[in-house]
Order: sequence, then structure tokens, then C-alpha cells
Amino acid sequence: MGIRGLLLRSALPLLIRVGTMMAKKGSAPFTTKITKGITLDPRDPKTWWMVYAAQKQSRTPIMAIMPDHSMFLGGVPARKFYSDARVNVNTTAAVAAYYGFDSASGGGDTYNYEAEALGQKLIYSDNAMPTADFRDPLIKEHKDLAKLKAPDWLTAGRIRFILDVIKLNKVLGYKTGKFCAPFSLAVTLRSYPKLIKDLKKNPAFAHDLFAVLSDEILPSYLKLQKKYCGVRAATGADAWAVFPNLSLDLIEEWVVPYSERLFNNCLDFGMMAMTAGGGDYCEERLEKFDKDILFKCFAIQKKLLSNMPMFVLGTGPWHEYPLEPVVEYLTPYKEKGIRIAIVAYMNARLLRDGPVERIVDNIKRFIDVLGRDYNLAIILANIPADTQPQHIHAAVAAAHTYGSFPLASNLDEVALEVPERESFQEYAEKMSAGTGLNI
Amino acid sequence: MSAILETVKQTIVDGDDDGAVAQIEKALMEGIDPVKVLKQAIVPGIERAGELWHDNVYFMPDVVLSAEAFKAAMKAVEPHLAGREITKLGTVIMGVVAGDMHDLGKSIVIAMLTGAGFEVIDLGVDVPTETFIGKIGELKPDIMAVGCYMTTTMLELKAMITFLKDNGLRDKVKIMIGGVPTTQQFADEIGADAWGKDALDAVDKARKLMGA
Repeated sequence: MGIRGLLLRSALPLLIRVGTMMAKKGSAPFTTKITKGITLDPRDPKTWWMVYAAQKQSRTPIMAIMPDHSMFLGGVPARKFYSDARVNVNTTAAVAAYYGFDSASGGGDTYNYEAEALGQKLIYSDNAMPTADFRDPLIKEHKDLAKLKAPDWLTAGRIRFILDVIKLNKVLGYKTGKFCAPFSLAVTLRSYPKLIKDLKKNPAFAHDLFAVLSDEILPSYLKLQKKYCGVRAATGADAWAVFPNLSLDLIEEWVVPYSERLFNNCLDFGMMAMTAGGGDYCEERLEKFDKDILFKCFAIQKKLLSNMPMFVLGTGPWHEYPLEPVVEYLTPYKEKGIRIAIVAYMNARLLRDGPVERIVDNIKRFIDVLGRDYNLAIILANIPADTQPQHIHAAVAAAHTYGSFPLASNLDEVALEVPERESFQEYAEKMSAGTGLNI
Repeated sequence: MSAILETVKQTIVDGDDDGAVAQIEKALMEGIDPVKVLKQAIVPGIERAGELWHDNVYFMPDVVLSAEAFKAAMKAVEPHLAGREITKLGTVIMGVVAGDMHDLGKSIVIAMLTGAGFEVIDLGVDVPTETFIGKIGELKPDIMAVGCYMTTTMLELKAMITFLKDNGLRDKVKIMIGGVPTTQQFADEIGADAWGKDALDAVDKARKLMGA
């Protein structure tokens, strides 16, 4: 066995552990473990959530992607929220504690850190997360590829900020790094229309771009994440690679190979770097829902997740899609005794618009259809900034009530009480012993 | 339809911007009426791309390339249309709200609206409210189309419409909104006249706003 084989073997236990965790009955992906005995510190919002999370519950976990909503609820200016790790994580933890989520992690702005560090111009504003200026892409022509050199990551752009976020997330039990997947990073550096044109008309150039990102830039960054943050796994966001932002053919041709290439490159130094998003089925028009396309998306997910027994019902309008095709796809696994992990997202627009009854019904439907035979985790997908807190309290109450193990045989007979809650500001006053959100 | 017009149309369906420009120049050199090039080749090309998208044959990359080819084709033919009477459905000013740089959806909507017969003035991305308001006074458009693609920047729309109301300008223009985080409910909440779910829907709604 060569050195590569030895290194692969060194990472294998982690892969096996993740896979096994997901295959066991009752366990679910992304649940965090908080040690008991945490003491509440009114000055530290992280402990507000940690004390809550230390009370182990046997239930379908519910969590959220919520940078915009946390920032909005906490009244934090965007420039501060997206540049001060302590502020970002403390605010997120306080909001997670307020709602009672089963996992908490700071961050947001996922697609921009690496690009900014490489020299891509971003636009900052007072109210919104920074975004790449697509009018002025870093890679305008082939010779610009020479600009793509791994920088001194610790001092480049806002890399230090996100590294510190990852370190603070570990305190919250979330021990996974974050990066922008090769395809989405290429979009950020080149702009979507230009990159699509490259894929179709100048594939050699596109291959050069993807190769430098997957072989040099991202591995060097993830190596630093491992060293600086002490994480051995990282997930790469890839929203530009969802279907139908990309056709299935293009995902197969451009997203899967370079994600696998990055994964293998990072295994060389003991980091498991998986991209997520490619293969997410996000068709917006319900009349265009196509079971065959969905199944092909699942097949792509399998490749991107290295055949781990896990599927994602992502940011598409899953509150409108039928779940029967999902069950049909998963049945062969069930018949083989494989307990698949399912990560089901609750649509952001539904969370904002409501009504509460529709949110509750959809949580209940996820649990009823997918919570019995599979390890289900529910994620509230990027909660919109001005979402009414009552909508989120209802979602959490529904997940915790209907999703309590063992699940009731008939969820219609389970009484659900959505609590009337104080405002976030009142909650923060109470938890901080009157000093407010200490960020 | 002549063979060359069919070829022009196909270059747009195929998203071949360079090919579209070359074929348009060839057609014009052959003395084909530029209005004919527009109405019988360029517009049907972008319409066909929309149909293919609707039928799940085309996906975002295909539509984006068709929109880019349409844009290039319009640039090639427009100088030859000067002084020609072309019926338009209405005038639209379109932009993305301040703090938001996402222009993909906007580009597709502009192509589809233009193809449908609207004159569209592109105000770009990261457009401050004052610019929109200034353009209402200057251009007197029938419709102001505003996009936003983040849940934070969508709040700018609310502020924008409130400002228009407070300054007695709200009735000067029809307002259509769109973008990933928006919904019909949000459009109703903030007092917009229409919500475009996607580019094709935006064309339908714009036509309705014009009573067409």
C-alpha cells in the first residue's frame, strides 16, 4: 500500500463513523452533542443554547439556516454580523436558544469568503450580507487564471472571521468546517452567464479554472481550516449547482467530477470535504415536477456524498411536492434493512408567509411519511429576515411534538400546543438578567 | 420564412450569440427588412426558448444563453430600426434593489419582456430607490419592475413603495416585483400591483397590467 492508501485509510474511520451513525435507528444527521453540566452564563448567549441542548431529547431534530433572520431579530448591522465572529455566533446561539433548535451554528455569506480572499470585489451594505459584484468578475479572460494563487489565508479578506466562526461553532457542538464548492466558487469568480458559456463553448478554459480551484486553492484553504479550527470534516455549499440552475448533464459533467477530485485531494491530509447542493431538486413550478428527474437528482446526491446512506430534500418547494416518489425511491433501501438519513428542508417562503397551520401540517407530513422508517432531520431553509417568530415557534413545536420518539401511530390523534411566546428582545432580557443581548 | 431568418431564430434558440450577430448582419446585407428580422426571427427565437423551458426541455443554462444571444441580436439590429414605427406594448424600467447584485433573473425577464413587445430600460443592479424614482419622473414608464434576491434586500421594496406613497408618486406607475424570496403574499403586503413568479409569468403579468 502506497502513501495515498495509508492516508485514505486514516480518514476511513471518520467516514465509517458518519455512515454508521446515520444507519442506526433513531439517530439523525447533524444532531450536536453538548456535554451535561454546562452552566448558564447570562453574559454568554452561547450558554443559553448549550444549557437547553444539554437536556437530551429523543425526537426528530429540527434546526435552521438563519443568518438573515438572526441578524434581523438581534438588530445587528450587517457589516458587523458578517465580520465579527463573536457577534455572529453569539447572536445565532441566542436565536437558536429562543426557538429551541436542536443544533446551532453561526456563519452565513458562505459563497463569498474564498472569492473575496482571492481578490473578487464584493459589495457591502448596511442591511444585507456582502455579495460578489458580478459586474466585475475577477476572472474576465483566460490569462486571469494566473491571478488564482492561494493567498495567505489567515490575513486575506474575511477568512479569519469565518475561521473564528468555525472555532466558536465547535463550542456549540457543531464540529464541521465550511467552504464554497468548486462550481459555486467558479460562478462567483466568473459570473454565471460567462461560466455557462465557457462550459459550452470553451470547455478547456473551464477545466483549467475548475482544476486550479479543486487541486490548489480549496485544498490549501481546507488544510488551514483543519489546522486552525481543528475540524476533520467540512461541507461545501453549492447552491449554483442545484437543479434546474444546472441541467443534470452539466451537473454530471462539471460538478460531480470536481467535487470528487476535491474530496480526494483533501483526504490526502485527513480532511473529509464534501459538497452539498449539487443534485438538490429545486424546480419551482409544481406542474413541472418530474419523478424521473428527482430520481436522477438523488443518484447525483449519492455520488456527491460518497455513497453515504443519506438524501437531501433541499431548498425547493417541498411543501408542494408529493412525498410518495421519495418513499418509492427509498423503499429498496428499507427492504435491504438500510436506515437512510433524510434531511428535509422546510421552504423559506412558506416560513415567512405562513399561515401557522400550513407550516405545522408540512412538518407533520414530513414526520408522518419519513420519520418512521428513516432518520429524519428537519431544517428550516434560510429563514427570511422578517419572518414572524410565531411561525418558527410553531414549526419547532410541531417537530418536537409530532416527532417525539416513539412516534405515535396516528399523528392526527396527537395534540399540538403552539406556545404563546415573548418577543426575542424580552427573551434576551430575561436570559441576560436584564442586560440584553450581550454580543 | 426565409432560410436565413430561420437560421437567425435557431441561433437564438441555441444560445449562440456570435452566430446570431453574424447571421443578422448577413440577413441585413441581403436586404431583408430589419423589422422582419426582429419580428420573424429574433422574437420567435426567444419565445421558442421560453416554450422549451416551459416544457422541461430547457433549463436555466439554456435559457440564460438564449437570453444572451437575444441581447446580442437586439444590439445588432437596433441601429437599423431607427425611425421605424414599431408597436410596443408599453415601457418598463427594471432594476435590482440597492445592496443586491444578482442580475441573472433580471436578464432573463428583460429578454422575455422585450421579446413580448415591451420597451425595457435596464437600470442595472444595486439600484438606489432615488434612481428608480428619478427614472419614473424622467421616463414616465408604464411599469416599474423591481427584483430582489435576498430576504434582507426584499425589505427595500417595502420601503420603496412606502416612499412612493408618502410622496404622492405611487399612482404614477404600475409596480411589478419578483425574485427568489418574493411571493404573491409579499407583493400584496407591500402594495405592489403584480408579482412575477418567473420570467414567463412576468410577461403575462406585464401584459395584464397593460390591459393587453
